[in-house]
Amino acid sequence: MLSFDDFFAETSGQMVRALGLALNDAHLGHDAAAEGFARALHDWNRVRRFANPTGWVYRVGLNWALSRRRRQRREVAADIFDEDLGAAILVESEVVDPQILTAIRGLSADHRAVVVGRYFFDWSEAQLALAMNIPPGTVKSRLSRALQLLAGRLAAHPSAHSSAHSGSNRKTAP
Amino acid sequence: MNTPTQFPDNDLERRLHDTLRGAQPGTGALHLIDVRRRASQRRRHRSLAVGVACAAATTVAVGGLALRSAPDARLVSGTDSVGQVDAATTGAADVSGSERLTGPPIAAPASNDAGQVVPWRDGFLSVNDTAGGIDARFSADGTSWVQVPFQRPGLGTFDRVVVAGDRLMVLEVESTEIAVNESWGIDRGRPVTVDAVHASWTADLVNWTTESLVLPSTDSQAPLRAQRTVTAFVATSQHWTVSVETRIDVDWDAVLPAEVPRDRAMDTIATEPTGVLVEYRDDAGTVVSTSYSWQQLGIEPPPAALATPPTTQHWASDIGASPVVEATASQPSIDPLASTVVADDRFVRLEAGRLIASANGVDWDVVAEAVDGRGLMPVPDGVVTFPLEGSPVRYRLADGSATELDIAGLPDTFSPLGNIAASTTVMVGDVDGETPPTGVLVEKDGLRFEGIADDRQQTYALTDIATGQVLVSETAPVVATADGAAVVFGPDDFEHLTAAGPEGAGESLVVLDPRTGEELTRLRAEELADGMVAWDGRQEATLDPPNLWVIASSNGIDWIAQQVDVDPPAGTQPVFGYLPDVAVQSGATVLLSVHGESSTIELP
Repeated sequence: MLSFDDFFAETSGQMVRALGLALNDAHLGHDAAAEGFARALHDWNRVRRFANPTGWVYRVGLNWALSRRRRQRREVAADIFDEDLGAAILVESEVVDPQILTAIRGLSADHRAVVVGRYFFDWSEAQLALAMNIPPGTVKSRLSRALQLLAGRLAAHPSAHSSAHSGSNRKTAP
Repeated sequence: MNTPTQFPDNDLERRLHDTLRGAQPGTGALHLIDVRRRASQRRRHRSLAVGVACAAATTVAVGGLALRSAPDARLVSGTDSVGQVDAATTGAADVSGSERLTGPPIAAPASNDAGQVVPWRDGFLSVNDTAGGIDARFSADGTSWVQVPFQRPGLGTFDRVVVAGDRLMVLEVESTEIAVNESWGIDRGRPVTVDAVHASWTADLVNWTTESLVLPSTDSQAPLRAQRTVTAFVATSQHWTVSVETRIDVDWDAVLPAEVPRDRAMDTIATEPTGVLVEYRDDAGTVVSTSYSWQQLGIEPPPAALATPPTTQHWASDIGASPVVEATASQPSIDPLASTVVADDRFVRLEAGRLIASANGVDWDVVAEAVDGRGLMPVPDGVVTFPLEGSPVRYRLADGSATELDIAGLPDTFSPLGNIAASTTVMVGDVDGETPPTGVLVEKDGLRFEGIADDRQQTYALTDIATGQVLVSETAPVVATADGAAVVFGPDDFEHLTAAGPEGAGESLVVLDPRTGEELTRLRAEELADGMVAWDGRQEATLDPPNLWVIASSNGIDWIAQQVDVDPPAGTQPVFGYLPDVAVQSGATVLLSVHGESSTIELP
């Protein structure tokens, strides 16, 4: 029987990263993950029965964050890369491709959400449709469109993608 | 999650996968304690929001306390599943013939004064520790109260009172303040650690006999410190037991650098394998998350004790001349909801999936194995446990074993939150309500499309905003797939809602005129996605009514399940959260008190 604590321990790290990427805002992603897990905890008897509780938390976190953004009237324009927001996500792995990351940030929120679900969580299109409660056709078209946009951006700004950044903006003591 | 090598043939997809999986957020880790706090705040927010609606619609005032009216209240009568009616009704309140306490009538005890109410001599005894001494009041019916004399031994700080058969016991503690810890952690304030406990009993509330226990010193050394608290104190008619929890912590104030402002500290100090994460507000009011390694804190390597969960020691003695003995060595603490209760004049505990019972608090027997339960509630001849799945289960204790019996009719999803008064046969819990509905709201070209769906059905309507005329409205059942998921507002569900568009089925929804079949509006997937957010934002404050229930029984067979409205009075904040201040049973009467207002329920 999956306990909430075990579920949280297993998925919270991924969820913070995924929502930070999908929302293009690591701090909002952190809050969204907290909200998603809080709602899951509140309703755990029901959520734990879902085929994909992680997907449920992801969708709830996304909806909550987007709703909050709209209420605060600070929607990030879909095709504008906000340096400040982007700075909230740094890369620490040698496999990270900063050009890809920049291109992802330029996607709309909807496109980013499916891209993260597909390539971060490795959900299939059907799994993604269930997780996000949108029709499979929508997932397919959004993914297809997102890949087109990404390919276009990468083609327009080609560069070696093996160069990696390292470091963190996480404040450490002197 | 699937394996990360599923995109071998597509360079872009592989690069996406590797980059997304390699990116790290610039925020600290998400901590479970923060999630629990947020969930608690969410429950509180919902309770507040729904209170207004409840006051006008479904709540009735009974004796000042708002109880939900029928059909929310359930009376459940049953028989033992082994085939016979069980009529045993022995319990703490079953002391008929005992002397009633009398005196001039006074007001009901102020339940917000952190007082305790226990069943006592066919009535209720309220004990409040005030600056002027113990304020004790008695009520035979939970409504009319009289002041009664009560002089406690005064050997330490008053901690709690429990019933021991026809006697009353108080626990007093001696404790030491833990230095300088006002800013940090969830236990804000100035915590203390217990050094000694004094257990005293009386039959007349004036003359006491006391047994004392000086707790052995802990071996924690600076900067570590031990904090000990009493987690349980229960008594049968002849024995008593006390449980003391010890948790090891760091004296954060002593080890954190001066740059961390103590007066602007947030609640979070999270220990991680490499160090600690501290959150505080800087001069501009921005929350700063700062990590310090163990080495930077001068604690290297990190003490193993920090990774050890709290432990509990149990001590026991009789109500006589026997010395207090250590009943069990330190062991990992268990859920307080499963801690020791008294049933059938024996101590019973739920430990590692087993029910264990003891007559003296020292010698324990396993009376039931493989018990799936989160909480433990005593009934006169046994206990009730609350499994993760399904209805509560009753165990009748007899002859060193437990017989499992069904309880019919209680809410399946009752989730225990706590015995408000330890070892009384009232449990407060949360009951899962209906699945929150999902919906969508799109306004476009003068038309409003609104849909709502729950577990059972889905309904949509297309309305002319200017005239208010409903142009189309349909309702259809929701069909869940084998794994419980369901897609709602799909084109296959309705006659006049269909899918169309150049990008394929499912990309757009089209609402058709029922008369002409012509297209009234077309909603793109992006509009629907935004519409779900819009609907959620509009509904957020009104979802999920508070769903707090108490269940009680005087015999383990016939039960009452009563929903309680725990909203505070308008314009006030709850003193002790949203649990009732008092939920205690004496005989066939349950006394409930919420936010200073009391009511009684008569059990069958």
